[in-house]
Amino acid sequence: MFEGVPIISIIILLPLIGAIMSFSLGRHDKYAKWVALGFSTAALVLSLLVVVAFMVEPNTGSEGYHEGNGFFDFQFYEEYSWIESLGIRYIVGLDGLSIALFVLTTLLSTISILFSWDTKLRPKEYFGLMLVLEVGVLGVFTTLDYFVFYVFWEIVLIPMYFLIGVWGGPNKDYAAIKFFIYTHIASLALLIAIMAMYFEAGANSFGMEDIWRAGQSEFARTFQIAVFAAAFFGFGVKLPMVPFHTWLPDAHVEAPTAGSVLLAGLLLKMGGYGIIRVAMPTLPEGAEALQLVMAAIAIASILYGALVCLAQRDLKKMVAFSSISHMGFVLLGYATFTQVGVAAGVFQMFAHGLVTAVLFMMCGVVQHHCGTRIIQDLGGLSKKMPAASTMMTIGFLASLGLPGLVSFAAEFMVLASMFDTWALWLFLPIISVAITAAYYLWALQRSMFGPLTTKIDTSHVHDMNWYESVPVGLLLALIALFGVFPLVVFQYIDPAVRIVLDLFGGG
Amino acid sequence: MIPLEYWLILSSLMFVIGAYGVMTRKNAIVVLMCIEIMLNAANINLVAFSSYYSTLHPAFGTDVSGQVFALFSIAIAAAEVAVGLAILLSVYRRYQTIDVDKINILRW
Amino acid sequence: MAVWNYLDGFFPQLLLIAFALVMPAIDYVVKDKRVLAWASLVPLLVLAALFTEWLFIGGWEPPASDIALLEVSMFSGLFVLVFVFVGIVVVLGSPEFIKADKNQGEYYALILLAITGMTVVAEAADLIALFVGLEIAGISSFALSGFRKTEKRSAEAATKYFIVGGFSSALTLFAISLIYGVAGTTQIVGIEPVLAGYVSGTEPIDAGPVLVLATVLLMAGFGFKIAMVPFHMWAPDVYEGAPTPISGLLAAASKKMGFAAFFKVFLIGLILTKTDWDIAVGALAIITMTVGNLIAVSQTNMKRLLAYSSIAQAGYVLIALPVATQYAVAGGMFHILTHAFMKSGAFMVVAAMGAVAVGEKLDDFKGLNRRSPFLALSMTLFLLSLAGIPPLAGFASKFVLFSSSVYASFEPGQGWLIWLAIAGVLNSALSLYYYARVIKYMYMEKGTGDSVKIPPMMAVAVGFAVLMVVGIGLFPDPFVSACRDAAEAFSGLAPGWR
Repeated sequence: MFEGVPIISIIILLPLIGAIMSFSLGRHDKYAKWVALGFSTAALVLSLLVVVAFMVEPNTGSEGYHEGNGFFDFQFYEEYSWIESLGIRYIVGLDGLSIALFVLTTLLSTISILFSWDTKLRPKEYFGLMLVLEVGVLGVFTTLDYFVFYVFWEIVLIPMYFLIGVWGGPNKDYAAIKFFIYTHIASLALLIAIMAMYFEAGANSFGMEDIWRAGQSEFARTFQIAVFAAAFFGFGVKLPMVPFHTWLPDAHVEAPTAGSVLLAGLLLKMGGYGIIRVAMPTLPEGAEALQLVMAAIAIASILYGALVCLAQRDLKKMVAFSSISHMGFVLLGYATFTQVGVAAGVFQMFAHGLVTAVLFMMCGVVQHHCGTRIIQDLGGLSKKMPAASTMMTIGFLASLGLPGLVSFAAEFMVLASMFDTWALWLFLPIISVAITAAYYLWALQRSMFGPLTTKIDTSHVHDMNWYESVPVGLLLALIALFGVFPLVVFQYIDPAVRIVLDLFGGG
Repeated sequence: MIPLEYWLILSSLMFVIGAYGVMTRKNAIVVLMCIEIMLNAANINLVAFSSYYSTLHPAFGTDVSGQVFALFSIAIAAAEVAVGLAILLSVYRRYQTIDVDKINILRW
Repeated sequence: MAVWNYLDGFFPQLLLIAFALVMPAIDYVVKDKRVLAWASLVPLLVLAALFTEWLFIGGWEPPASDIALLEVSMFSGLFVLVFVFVGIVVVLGSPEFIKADKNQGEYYALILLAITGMTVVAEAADLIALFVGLEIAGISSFALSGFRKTEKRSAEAATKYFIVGGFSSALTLFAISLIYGVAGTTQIVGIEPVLAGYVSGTEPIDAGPVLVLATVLLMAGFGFKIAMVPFHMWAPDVYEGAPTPISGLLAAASKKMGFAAFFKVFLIGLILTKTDWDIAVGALAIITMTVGNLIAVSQTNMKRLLAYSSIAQAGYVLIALPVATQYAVAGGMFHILTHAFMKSGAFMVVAAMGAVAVGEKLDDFKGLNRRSPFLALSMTLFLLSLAGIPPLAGFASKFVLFSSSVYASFEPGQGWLIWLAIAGVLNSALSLYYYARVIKYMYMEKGTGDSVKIPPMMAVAVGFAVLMVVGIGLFPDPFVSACRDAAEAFSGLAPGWR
């Protein structure tokens, strides 16, 4: 459909143009949201067309398709020289690993912009930064050159820093700086890993494929372990993995709702995507050597996240910690090194992106209408806001893994493959499933049902506005759709994962 | 002819005396003089080495680069003193002192 | 051959000196002092255009030097370009800043002379030329930092700078005299072959102790120039007290001159004894960046903060010395190039705020976004670039620089070099803390005061630096190539250089 059209670059450029327009609106800043919505919707529509094209013409030899010879099979492949003297090229392409996250990015960006429709504080900067963030995340999910990957990876930090720091809650200064420094240190570990791979490969190219190819013969086992550890740290902090998760609750609690949605829905996925795209295929021996470390960290994240949720008083903080728990499943899936487990891990990223967006939006709705998110102060809100309480219930149920909704497929498959690999150790993550159900239902019962609270003034509480219910409703529809038909996504993830696992011998 | 070592001992002594003075003396003029002593120690070295090489390898003719260097550095030292004294004069007008320990609005 | 035939190679210096000499006369004649700035821009722009054409486009070539004092190469050309660019930024930022001061003719003359001295250092092929260049630049800078002689802080800055500068020249000169004594030549490229004779034992005496002493003294002498810890104490005081554009000149250009000298003497003259000094310089690099960043965290004056930040940046560039590969020299030069723009730009922002009476304390930056969005955005870009956030210039250069030490650490026996890269990236993260704090002040804190209008020439100066920081970040290729060419030319100067 897009022969000869640099469609991915166009999709990445659209929000950038929108951001520049939004920043330069001057006094007409009330149009910023329209600019942002226009450009992000355009990107969304184009990315949906890309998905259609991806489905219609899978892996044909047509123009724009890059046969990877053992590396990933990319479509919509584009390549331009950027810094020739160092072998740095701007390469983008999509395959089964990235296509779902790519669409998730355009979707969540559009939805978050819609959700923050009534932002009054410095709107042109706000919407401009949202679009810059979209550019960065889109770049991370599409680029196939390490240098460019790192550039996009770091670009994401700056708008997020400002989103938390300017539009955040009471403790925003601390949260913003902590987020910035913490994740920046992790990125630097990644940077060293990239430099080491570049030189050890000796291919005078930062292209992922070139380094992968050279690495198969050049990377010794000890080298792989060291570099994998560095890269894994870089990606894992973003994921986030226990014990490097402490930036996440602070950032989430202080961030504005749309910021939280993008943070949990997209930024965490960058970590998970990096491990499967960069660290595992390029450094398979390192990954194998550290398999148990990955699994242990994953299980620790799952359990720790769930347990801490039980103790939370703040609805949003609870959702934030639940993200740690759910992203632990991604890592656990990877750590099995089985076809089912890794594919389920990738799918879990997509699923969690949809579900957590709903949860954070509902937290935002509660905060917005009731003025507080403290669970003890809420109660009986279903009487005042029936639509909101229904949506929140569905969201919570989806997140705790109710069959028929999207998370179930992912988490069930992760657990199944874990059973194949480590048999009865399965009981550890299984405990967390019970805990997850407990904290969600308990929180739901205390905040939405029961007698109407008297701790806050509820006389002005009304149901959701259109710009709140439309995004949430849309997301819930998708959650149900992919819950019933997970194969729609899986059939594209599967072949890509097979390529990764072929490197491990056996698979 | 005086052996090279004597010159080197003299210049080393002057250099050390100068360096010690720069670090310990409070009066900026004295500090300036100590810097001059250090520069002159280097000049003695240059000239001494120059004449040493000329006697060592007479076949190559006279090696003058050290002596030329000394001439350059004498001229430079003069310029430096001129600017330095001007600066000290202006600082004296502002502070009524040239004690380097008392000129300390800016944290050291 | 007549004397003037020898002067071809001095063409850039002669141009600068000629304009410097007529500056006081122009000052005497014209009423509108901005003419002085325009006049002093003439030689700078001419040189910038010519050297840009030489290094990036091809066509014009500078006249080669007929005398052994100077060596015109891509290496010196790139340094000259850096000095000239910084000069342009500083001159553009000056008229509004010093509009109430007397003796403006001398001010511009001294700037041009300081740049002349720096170009001499960049092109020096002989220790005599090197020392003379250092002194020309140094003496001009002493006078410039004391330019506001009615101001206590300026006079004090000049005093401190003069004492420290004089002391460092004395150390340098004494070290040079010892090297001359050992090597019997003042030619920088001539030192290495003689040392090879000592190493192989064909020379009868053991010059080791003298050489070590000379090396230590040189480290101290040049260390003062580049504000390397522990010879850095003067820098914050001088940068704070000097007129702000001059602080920019000192941090962005004068310091680079120190690096040019450091590179030449250590990597060409003393490369043979590298094992004697590489670990010491490596350790000092790590100490310098760490100390600079740690102290910068607690600063409340923007100029002091930038001073400590530039101490830290000097630590990064020092990485190139112990690594000592062509790639590392290219990385060091690239960082020198980008740092010149980031730092001079940041100082120009502070100068602009001083010129419109906003102030230069960190607190004065509160809510700057409301008062001058342009300045706030520019400062943000400079600071993020200094912290090494892509896609800005500082990231590109740090990337090349740090990766050179990663690369070199793969060599057998050189494994310790990777710690230089690790220290570098950790320090980058540390520096982000105080840079982010300034950005937070500008965008997230409520400030007082109305919006301010930035004088156009200052806006041009800041805008030019922004353009370069963003431009180099987005299109680093020609600059990386130029730095590699320069490093190749540099290594070509010394036989037997890897």
